[in-house]
Amino acid sequence: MSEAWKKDFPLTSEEESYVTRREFTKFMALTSLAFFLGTVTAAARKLWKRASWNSPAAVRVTNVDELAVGGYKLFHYPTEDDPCILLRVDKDRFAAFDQRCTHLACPVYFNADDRQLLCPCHNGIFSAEDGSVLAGPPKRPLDSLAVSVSNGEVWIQSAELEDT
Amino acid sequence: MSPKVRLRQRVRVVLQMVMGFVIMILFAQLWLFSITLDAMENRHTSMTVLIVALICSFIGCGAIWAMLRLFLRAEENQ
Repeated sequence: MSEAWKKDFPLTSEEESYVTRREFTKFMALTSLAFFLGTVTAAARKLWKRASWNSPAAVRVTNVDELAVGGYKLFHYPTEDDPCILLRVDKDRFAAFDQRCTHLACPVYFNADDRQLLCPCHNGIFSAEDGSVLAGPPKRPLDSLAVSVSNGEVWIQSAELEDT
Repeated sequence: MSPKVRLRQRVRVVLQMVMGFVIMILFAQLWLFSITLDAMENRHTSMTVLIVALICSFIGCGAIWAMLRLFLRAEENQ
């Protein structure tokens, strides 16, 4: 009586979870295909972004008088989704960077005393002079923007694509 | 040891070698995928890097398919 069900269901758990060699190799091949398709998708997005990149016009961020030495101003450029930071490094020197840390895109803030841009998430430190990495996990410098001063106004020039 | 057992052992060794290669290629593909993801976010990354990553990933995928196909076919013929 107690063993009767085994005749009706002659399937053991070992047999059920058994993976054949063919199934396993199929899984490997599909994993490889998934990696390739992921790479294609990421590359296509990059290409699409590049194709749709229009060199944005220069924008006025602030007046020179409104920003004290060691001060900063946040703005968005070239779109509202791109936070940037303008720094007054010296009396006559301004610098502007993309505010997103190149590690994991946390916003960086300006430490005027040390002339550094700090990322609070993972303690990434960038130079306020040129955006280069001074310490922490980021591997590449902050994206910098060209700044110009004319008629007492600070302007941000278009961000250029460097590669070909 | 009978010839059949010997053959089965050889097939097993070949399978292990093939799996070793496949796993190496899969790790390389994962690395290429991470490079492409980084390039997607970073507008300064060169297009050459992206194209090379794409080609290498394609070659890796093709190599895995070819190796597994060859192995399974050889196994069937035994």
